[in-house]
Amino acid sequence: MALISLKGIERIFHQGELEIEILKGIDIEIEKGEFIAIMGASGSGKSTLMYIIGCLDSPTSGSYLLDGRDVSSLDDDELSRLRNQRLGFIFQSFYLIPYLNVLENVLIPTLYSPETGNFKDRAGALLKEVDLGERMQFLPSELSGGQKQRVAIVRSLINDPEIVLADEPTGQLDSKSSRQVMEILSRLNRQGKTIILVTHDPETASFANRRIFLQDGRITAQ
Amino acid sequence: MDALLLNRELFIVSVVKALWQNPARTLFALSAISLGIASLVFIVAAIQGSNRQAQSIIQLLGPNSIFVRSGFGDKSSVRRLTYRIDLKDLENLKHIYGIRAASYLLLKQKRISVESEARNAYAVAAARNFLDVFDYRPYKGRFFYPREYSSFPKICIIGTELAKYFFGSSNPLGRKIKVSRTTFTIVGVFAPKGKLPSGKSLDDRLIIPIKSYRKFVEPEYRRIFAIKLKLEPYADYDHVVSMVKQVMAKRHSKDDFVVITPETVRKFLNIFNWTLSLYLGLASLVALFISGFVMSNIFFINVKVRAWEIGIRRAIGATRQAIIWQFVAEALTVSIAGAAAGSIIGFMSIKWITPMLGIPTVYPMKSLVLAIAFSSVTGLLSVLMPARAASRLNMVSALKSRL
Repeated sequence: MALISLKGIERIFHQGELEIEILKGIDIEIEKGEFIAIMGASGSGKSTLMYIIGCLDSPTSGSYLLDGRDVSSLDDDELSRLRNQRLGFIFQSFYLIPYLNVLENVLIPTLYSPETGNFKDRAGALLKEVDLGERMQFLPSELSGGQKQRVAIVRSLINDPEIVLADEPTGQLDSKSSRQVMEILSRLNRQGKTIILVTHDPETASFANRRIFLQDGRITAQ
Repeated sequence: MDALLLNRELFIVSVVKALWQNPARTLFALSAISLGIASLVFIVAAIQGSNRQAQSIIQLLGPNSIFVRSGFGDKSSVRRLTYRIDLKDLENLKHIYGIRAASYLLLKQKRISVESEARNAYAVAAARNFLDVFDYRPYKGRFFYPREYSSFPKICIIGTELAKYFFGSSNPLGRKIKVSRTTFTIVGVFAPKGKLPSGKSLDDRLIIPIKSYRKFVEPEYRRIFAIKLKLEPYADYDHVVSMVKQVMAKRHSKDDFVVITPETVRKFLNIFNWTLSLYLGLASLVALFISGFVMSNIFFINVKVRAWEIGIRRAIGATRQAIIWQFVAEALTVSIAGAAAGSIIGFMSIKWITPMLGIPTVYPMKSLVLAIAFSSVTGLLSVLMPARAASRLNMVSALKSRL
């Protein structure tokens, strides 16, 4: 059974009387441990697809099974728990909370976790792995773009999710930092995490094992 | 570290730092709520102060007594500072059925001196039953013997404050004291009587037997400042009061005298309390309402500005309830800080303003609890709508709001 199974996913947005169909029947199956890149030009619907996979948005129609479970049957609290426990997010704009230091930012998901554990030590170890062990007390404004994204990666991993979703994670980074970030994602994939990457950049996508191309809300190639 | 403890610590850090991040907005919300609280604290103090004032007046009057004080005539008369009531009034009032004893208060400010030390103080004339009717109690030495009321002894009793002023801790009994140019011997000290509501002390007075007073202090007198009546225990109090008013009205216009009873004091202060509570209560409710409104709007701005932060918190697993808690905790923190700041401002205004209003200064410690309760309720009510709005934000739009 596939870890993620999307069938006939459609997403329609309403703007006044106008209907904008962003996704027009997407079928994808993603297996556990895959590193998949969803590619496409701007406006192709790739981010919308990622939001649906990440349970941040729900499809207008179609079915989404996560580990065999129909996501549409879950209520808001269950979806929150799902995002907290099984999914990790990395965004182009990092979304680090500006008034919290690196360590606090990394620990924020644990605030919403029902699990107990030694999160502080785990955060320290993970930050060391991405060479930020010395910057735990720094504010995001004191970090470079690459460092910020590495903090965001550690934040996505603090609750040890199975799936990491990365939306243009290198979009704001120079080539060296981009490479570092992608190498970390590759390493995570080798450790067993399922990585779903959204990018328009072929070089970034080259780190993935499988690529899906989207155009005008449809998959054109897998 | 225990995970729950870590979570609690992280939550508090997150709340405090979020508020610290926007000092201007936080300060604005804080000052709004603290001004509301300050007025609330002030009202409680004013009400407690005026109640204390009522109690002290009632205590000064003594139980089962009536005080008839001289007025200063009606408005059309030239406002001479002479008293309007006299000994004939005392004679008339004495005979009302139910009156056990009556005496009068006659006093004049004089230059009092002991050796080279001098100050102004009231010299009071004591008629035969004055000390009894006006509830004076001996503290040191003695009061006057009956024969001393009919002769002209140069003796006096003084208040504790006057004793302390001239003699410090040494014994004043037997010492000489000068009233104007006449030297008197101190035979006693009366027990402290406290202060008048106006703040004037009753213990820096000097009391002289009536005949001596007339001979050496103030030879010419006809009018008196006040009459005090003590009632028999069986007397119908209200009936006696109305009789007193009737008797006085026979010789005087209504502006010539004021009849003061514990009941009139209570009534007056009740009206005063009500008016004060109503006006200040309304003012403080309006202030709290406005501060709640200001706070609510500031939190709406917060939600708008921090939409992406709410988006990311939701993305990484915050439930709607968790988002509400974040904002509620921020509002409660501001409210409690506002209650503290408001109480300090309130206490400061009690210190400076109540003396100007002639109300005894009371620091109502219980109002601190009231302040925290009121500000928490205001904070809670004002944040509910913005917090609910925050929890219902569309996650994707919220995240995109930063782009």
